[in-house]
Amino acid sequence: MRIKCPYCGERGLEEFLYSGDATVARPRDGGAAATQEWTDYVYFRENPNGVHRELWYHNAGCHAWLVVTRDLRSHEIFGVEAAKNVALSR
Amino acid sequence: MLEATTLNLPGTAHVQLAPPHSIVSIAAFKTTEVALHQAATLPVTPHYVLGNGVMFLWSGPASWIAVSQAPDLEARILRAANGLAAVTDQSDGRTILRVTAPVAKLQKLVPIDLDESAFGPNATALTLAGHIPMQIWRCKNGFELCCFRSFAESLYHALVEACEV
Amino acid sequence: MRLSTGGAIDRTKILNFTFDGKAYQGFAGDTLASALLANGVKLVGRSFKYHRPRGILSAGSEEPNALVELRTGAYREPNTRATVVELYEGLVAQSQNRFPSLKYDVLSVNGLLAPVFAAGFYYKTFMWPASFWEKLYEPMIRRAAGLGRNARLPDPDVYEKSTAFCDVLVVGAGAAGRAAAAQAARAGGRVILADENPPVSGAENVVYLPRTTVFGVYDGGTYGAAERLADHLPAGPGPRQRLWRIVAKRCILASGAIERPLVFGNNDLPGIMLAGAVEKYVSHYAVSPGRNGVLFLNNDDAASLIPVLTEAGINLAAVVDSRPKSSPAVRDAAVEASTALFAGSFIAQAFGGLAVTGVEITTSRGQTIKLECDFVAMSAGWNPAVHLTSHLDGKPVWDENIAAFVPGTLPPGMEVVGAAAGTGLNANIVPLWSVKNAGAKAFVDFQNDVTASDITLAKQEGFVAVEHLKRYTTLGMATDQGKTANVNGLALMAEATGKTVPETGTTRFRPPYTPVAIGALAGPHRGKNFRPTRRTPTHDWAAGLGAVFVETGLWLRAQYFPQSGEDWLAATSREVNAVRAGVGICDVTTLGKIDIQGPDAAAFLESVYTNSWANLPVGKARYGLMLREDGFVMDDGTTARLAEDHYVMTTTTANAAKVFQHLEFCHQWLWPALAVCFCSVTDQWAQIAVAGPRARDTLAKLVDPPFDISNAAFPYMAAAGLTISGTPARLFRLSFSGELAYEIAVPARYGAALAQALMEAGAEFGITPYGTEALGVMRIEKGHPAGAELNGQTTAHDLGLAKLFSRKKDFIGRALASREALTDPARPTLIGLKLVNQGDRFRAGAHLLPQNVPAVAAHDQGFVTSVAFSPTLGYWIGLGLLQNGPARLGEIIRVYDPIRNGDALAEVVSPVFVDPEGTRLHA
Repeated sequence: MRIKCPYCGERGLEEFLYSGDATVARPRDGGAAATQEWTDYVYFRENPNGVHRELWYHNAGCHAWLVVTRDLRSHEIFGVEAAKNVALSR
Repeated sequence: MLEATTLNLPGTAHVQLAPPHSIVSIAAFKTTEVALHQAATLPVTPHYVLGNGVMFLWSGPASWIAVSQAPDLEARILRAANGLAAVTDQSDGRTILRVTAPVAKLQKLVPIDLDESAFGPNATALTLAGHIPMQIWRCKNGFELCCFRSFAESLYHALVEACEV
Repeated sequence: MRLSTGGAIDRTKILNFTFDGKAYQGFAGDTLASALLANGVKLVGRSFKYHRPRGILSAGSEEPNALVELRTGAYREPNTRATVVELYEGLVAQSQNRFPSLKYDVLSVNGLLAPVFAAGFYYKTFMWPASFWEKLYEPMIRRAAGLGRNARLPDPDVYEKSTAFCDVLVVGAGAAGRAAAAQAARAGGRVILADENPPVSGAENVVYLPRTTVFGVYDGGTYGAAERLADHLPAGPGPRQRLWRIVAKRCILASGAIERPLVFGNNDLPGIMLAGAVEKYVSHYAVSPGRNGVLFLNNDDAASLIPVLTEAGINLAAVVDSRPKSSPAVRDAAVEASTALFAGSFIAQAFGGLAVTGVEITTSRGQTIKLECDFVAMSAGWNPAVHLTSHLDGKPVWDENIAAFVPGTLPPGMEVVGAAAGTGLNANIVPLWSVKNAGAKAFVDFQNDVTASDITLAKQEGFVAVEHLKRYTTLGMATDQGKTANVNGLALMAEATGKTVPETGTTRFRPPYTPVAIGALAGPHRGKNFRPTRRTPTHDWAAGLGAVFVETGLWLRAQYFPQSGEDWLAATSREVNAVRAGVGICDVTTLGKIDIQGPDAAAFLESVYTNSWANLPVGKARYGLMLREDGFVMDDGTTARLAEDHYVMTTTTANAAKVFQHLEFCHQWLWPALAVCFCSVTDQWAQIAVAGPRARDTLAKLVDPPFDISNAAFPYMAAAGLTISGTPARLFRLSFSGELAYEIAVPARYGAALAQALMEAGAEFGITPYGTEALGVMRIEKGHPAGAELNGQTTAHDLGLAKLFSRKKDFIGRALASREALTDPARPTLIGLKLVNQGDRFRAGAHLLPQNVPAVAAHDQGFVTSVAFSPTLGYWIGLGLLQNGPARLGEIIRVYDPIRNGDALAEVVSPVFVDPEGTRLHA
């Protein structure tokens, strides 16, 4: 698989580390207690049979974290964004 | 001064250890361009610019490395950065190897397209050589590869095996 | 036999080779198969299950029968298809799967047990009694399994890997492929043309890779190819093969087509071959498979063989055409060749022992005619070689007109041309998937010995889905991946179930198209080049002192410095004693060092560490604990504040990259608005621990004035920049050993010189270099958790570090660390262990149980995490995790280690064995 890093261009899979689900958001309540929201954030994941948004780290390249929109069946990638930009716009 | 040790990597026909350079890492605190007073506007795409004996290479989003044979590079860049960027000396943290072999030999190690059509005169890239992360750029007669100092020996041996066979 | 004229072989270059120990000759340009046929060798192997005599079926990489062991010694490679081996001087080949010889294979008695060996054999036999499985059945199956033998020696060849980029990759250099490549080159793109065969002439402006099989299609326009650089030459020093990863914007597949055998009785006898292969042997290699043949076909394409045989002077006794009225093309060719034509007829079975001697034909009127012949050319039509189109899950589609599968959905960027697309194939074909009433075994999959009746059996037993058919009968599962078998098998199942072929489906093809040597996949990354090695700045200095090194991840670290006659234990104990009595130095460069700068650096540290950071003064360091978001401990280290907005964080060696990744994650994804930057400086600074009561005295001799290293000016946990002989340096007063200790850092190029300078300065105090073993002993003596305790399954509570949790702020892991189960004191918690019998020894990994209960898992209360011989105390000590540990100090428990025969009693003690008051730290 090849991922088009928005900074470096298209690179092979070996330059990246997959790191999970980009659709879950860290609760903003300060974390004083282990609520259901926190447990869901850490443990529960959707496993869609189709398009998903994932976090990848360009480990052997520019060290950017990326949000990749990808079809989990066909591996077709529909978009790659800098995670920082996605996070800032939330 | 304490005595400096150079890595024992003898030059071969196509692979040489570059002489020591000052290398400084620059990372902007905010995602904006940092224009240094040397009048070299820092590249925002994977390229390098040359100015006043200093090469500024893009090294990631809002990150660059400055490479020069001039002394006091860190101090000069600190002044120029004026609190807008993190400035960190990497003169000992990184090693530069020069490769003058045909591109086909380097492609045995480097997984990006190094053909002139894809990797032009001022291009640079952060990628791998075999299993070793490094930054590569074109130079006169060939390429320079910059890796963490502790990987230098392994990178050197991998390059010699790829280029001298 | 060799024809006296014709062919593309070079008759001026004679090559000598051996097969099964017998010497033969061939010509340059021969394959091993063509040379064997030229020498009249028809019997080349024995089949997998039934050990039936087998000959050469094809002239290409689809060959299922002619599998040989090629070369000898460590170079020996089993299951090599003789049809693709280019003959070279001195080639040595052996047939496989027979004992004692091809001619007299004792296992051919398997044929007599045929009913037992039918499909499903593996699933039905060897089931009972269960106890026989391990001792009898499995070894039997293993001995009988497989075809050729592995050399079982390290692969002596050298392999390369490379990446290539192009606009167009053309797969196949036949007519269609060459035309496509030329066109693409004229359009100005970068073109690569790859073909599995030896070179024909090159093409302009095209990178031509002959002897190169494109074996796989992968995501993102990536293709895998294996180039055989030297397999056609005697073994030599150069690279044998090169593995290519080709990244292509477009791919044109011109892989041609593969002929199908006809399924009739004994169709596997040596001398029965695919018609297209016979044509190739005659016209290209000037080799005839025999003197008197029969052609059996169901389509017009195979008729092209008829004039070729006539021209070569080879007699064709008959053409048997299963189509009711044959066709004009075949009729005309038969007339031209004066050959008898049996229309609407089929070969019911062939006869022969070690080679075919004749056939029995059933005519359209039901008569039976026997004909003598010494070869049979058969054609059931051609299958487009669509394999690569389905590597990314594309399904080929059935084309009724040509009775074959053609490409269906294609991988992105791929188009198919020529025979691979079904163009110009199977003119006027009438499908014949098997003859009726074969009267003898009729083979569908030659390599795995699957017959037409096996397919009938599978259907009877309910295994009708094509994936079940495949696995139940093993059809298509051999090294040829059913290239000459799949479609026949599938179509027979369709017939048996009364469905159409499309309804029955198709199996998926997966890479590699043909086998790829594992050496090629490894390329240069084997032996000492398997991974890179990272060396510290003092590596050579330590090696010069005789250090023994240990791998810590990619790093080499000095483990201990043995003096003459010392083993590791003696050296380590000496080093520990020297440090605690005087002073020692140890390279700690490998611990991750991350430079953190920015106006929000402090706020960021607050978020990733459990404890407080905002109040850390400039010039001080603090121990930091980092959790994962699930509340378990991820890493620890010390972070020093060098300036208002400037910190240096240290991590454990093993987690350096992981922590850096984590910091970038937290900054880019969780808190992107914070102004903070990270830079790895692990390699920038050589860092050396100086530890022991005389550490200060040693350093005092080296630091440049006006730096004040007194206890008052530079107390425990202080951090500062200074110079050493004019060299910029950083000094940290940190202690892992529990002694008065510092870590001194200089830019890496000065690391060796620093070590030397320290040794000289400390000589009068008995300074000693120490390695990771002594480092480990001392931290165990002080009860400091390290890698063995930070194993990803422990919490701060478990390690006695819960006091480091700030109550006032959010930090990574805060919420889930507060879960009741993670703070339960009954969890295994850190304690020290001291054997009741102090002369004894115990080992990490041993389990902890109460006394006087059976040693079973239900009574397991924890385990030993770290063990060391403490020279300070004179006996073995350990750290462990014990349920309710800290509440059980003084209790005697059992340390149980059945794997290494350990079983001892130990007292639960505080993990801090040496200087529990910590007075030495603050000296």
